[in-house]
Amino acid sequence: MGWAIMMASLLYILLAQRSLVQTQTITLIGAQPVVEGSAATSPFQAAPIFGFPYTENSRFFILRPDQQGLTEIKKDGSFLWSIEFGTPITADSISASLSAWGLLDGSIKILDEVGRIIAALNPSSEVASKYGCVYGIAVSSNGAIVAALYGIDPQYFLIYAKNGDGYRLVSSRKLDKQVRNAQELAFSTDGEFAIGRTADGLAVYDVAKKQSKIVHPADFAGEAELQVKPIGKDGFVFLLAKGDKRFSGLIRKGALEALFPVDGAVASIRIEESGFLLASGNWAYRYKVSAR
Amino acid sequence: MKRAISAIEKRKALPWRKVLRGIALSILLSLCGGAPVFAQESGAPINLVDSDTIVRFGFPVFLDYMALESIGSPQNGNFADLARSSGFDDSAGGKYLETGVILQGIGLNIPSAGDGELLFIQNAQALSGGMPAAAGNFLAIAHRDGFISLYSAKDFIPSSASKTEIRKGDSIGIAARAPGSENANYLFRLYDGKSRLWANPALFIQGFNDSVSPKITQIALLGEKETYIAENRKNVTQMIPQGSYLLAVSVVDPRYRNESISGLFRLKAVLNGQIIADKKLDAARVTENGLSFMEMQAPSSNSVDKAGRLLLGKQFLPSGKHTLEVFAYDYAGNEAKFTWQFSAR
Repeated sequence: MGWAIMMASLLYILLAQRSLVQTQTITLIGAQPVVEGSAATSPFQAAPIFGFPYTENSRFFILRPDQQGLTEIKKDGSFLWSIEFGTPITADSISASLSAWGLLDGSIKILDEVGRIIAALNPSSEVASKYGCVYGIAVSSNGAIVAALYGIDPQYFLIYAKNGDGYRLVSSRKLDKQVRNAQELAFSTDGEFAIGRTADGLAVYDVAKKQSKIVHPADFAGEAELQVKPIGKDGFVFLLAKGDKRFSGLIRKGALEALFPVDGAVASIRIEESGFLLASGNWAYRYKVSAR
Repeated sequence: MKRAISAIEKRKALPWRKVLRGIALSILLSLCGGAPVFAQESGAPINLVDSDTIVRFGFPVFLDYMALESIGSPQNGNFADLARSSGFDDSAGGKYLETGVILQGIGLNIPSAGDGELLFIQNAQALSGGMPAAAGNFLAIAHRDGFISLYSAKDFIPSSASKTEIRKGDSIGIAARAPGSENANYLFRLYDGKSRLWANPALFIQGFNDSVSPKITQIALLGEKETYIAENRKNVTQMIPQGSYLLAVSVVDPRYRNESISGLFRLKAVLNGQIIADKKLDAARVTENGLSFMEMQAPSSNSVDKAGRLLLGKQFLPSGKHTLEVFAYDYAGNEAKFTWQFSAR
């Protein structure tokens, strides 16, 4: 066993040096034990703020314990801005210069980098759900498109596009089934595709074609949890949890290119220069995405 | 639309309770520009009338989600304590106020406050975008007339999302046993989506068994440079410079034996015989800038100072002798009064 770990570690060290190429298939290149107690210093140590720290896109946030407000701080812990929402946050999406917040009351707030509300979207004025609530949200890195999973009876996959100073609803797909918990939505790095899990299957929006569709219902519909991260220019890596089983895979341009079972304890994805890493409690599985 | 609050209508109210109820309703009506607040045509969408298991009450109340045992302590059961202990303090925004009350479950079960449909379950460590699920696990039920009730508790395990139609009294999850009790305690919040208000659930509860008056623990005048704390020493008249001051008050609503805590409901300040502030804690209005408590500007950090005192507004104090009387009422009608005589020069 020890030899196997050593060999795997050696293999990982060697392969991890290889650069990422535009890829279509995935290979497990190694697994290693997770080292507990990272030596990295917390950027929040200097912050005189109590709450739940979070970092995304090199931005640092402290979320209030009631999940109804947050503060952005600089890396040194000094204050940038603070906001209080009317109802609890149910979904979030943070880019380098924008952030989008979905709330329990069904409203969506888009904030700029100084915490100003630049758009307040109210889907209830555009689609007819019996109850409003935002279950998932994603904003493209340039802020041009916002995707949201909204409402109950029925539920909608919504797409808003930037229109002058505001946003305009450009696509609404009514769903047959509905989720009641938060779902992850994401944009590809080039901002051309948005995906997210719905109770009907995987929702995909093609920005260029201005079309949304539901794909792979057999794999993604029903009771499941999906984590998804953009990789490369137009791809996504995902981690799908269905019951006690876990699957990972690759989606490019809305098409499922790989789907494979992984360790049932895997809980998170991390995108790396040469591929991605799936982390469980004790192990990290590193994958290289290789060219076809 | 005819509206009423059956929970309150059913209450066998004492005369002074009726007065308070009238005040509460009139304030709620005025908050909505005359429009009714709690929508119902027959029966209440939310019905806490049968809640004989109230262990504490306050609107809002602080909840430390990571250590919910703290709600076992009576001192945490009211608005003022929330402000003191909310713990969220940043260099610009200060503390904040949170809506909610603490109720006792049925055993470890958390009961639904009314018929409705499951709206949202948070049962994960992170939000959909990766943010930490700071509020812990919680569940929201959509009721008719735009009400949403929210439930959370220490180690709360919400019921499965597969059951979406919920009846009043259904168990919507289980939670950890409260210290020294066989039951779980839980945070209950009530949002009126039509009126965009967080409502004080006290309006839906009858029969508070609360015989103890609130306690005014501190009155302070916050000047631009100095803060002056009220002292009632015999034969000593405090002197303060004339000028504009923010009136800040700390109040707790203590508990007596096994009684309920009905929670701080109203604060009134009278300066030299004239009412200068009369604030009710019946609802928090949702605005674009956050929550507005006691008709103060949102966000809620405008209603509380960094020391956790509730702010009742600004007042100019000219030179001369002054008498400031502060009254605090809990929801059961118990009154506390603090009189401060001082001079300004």
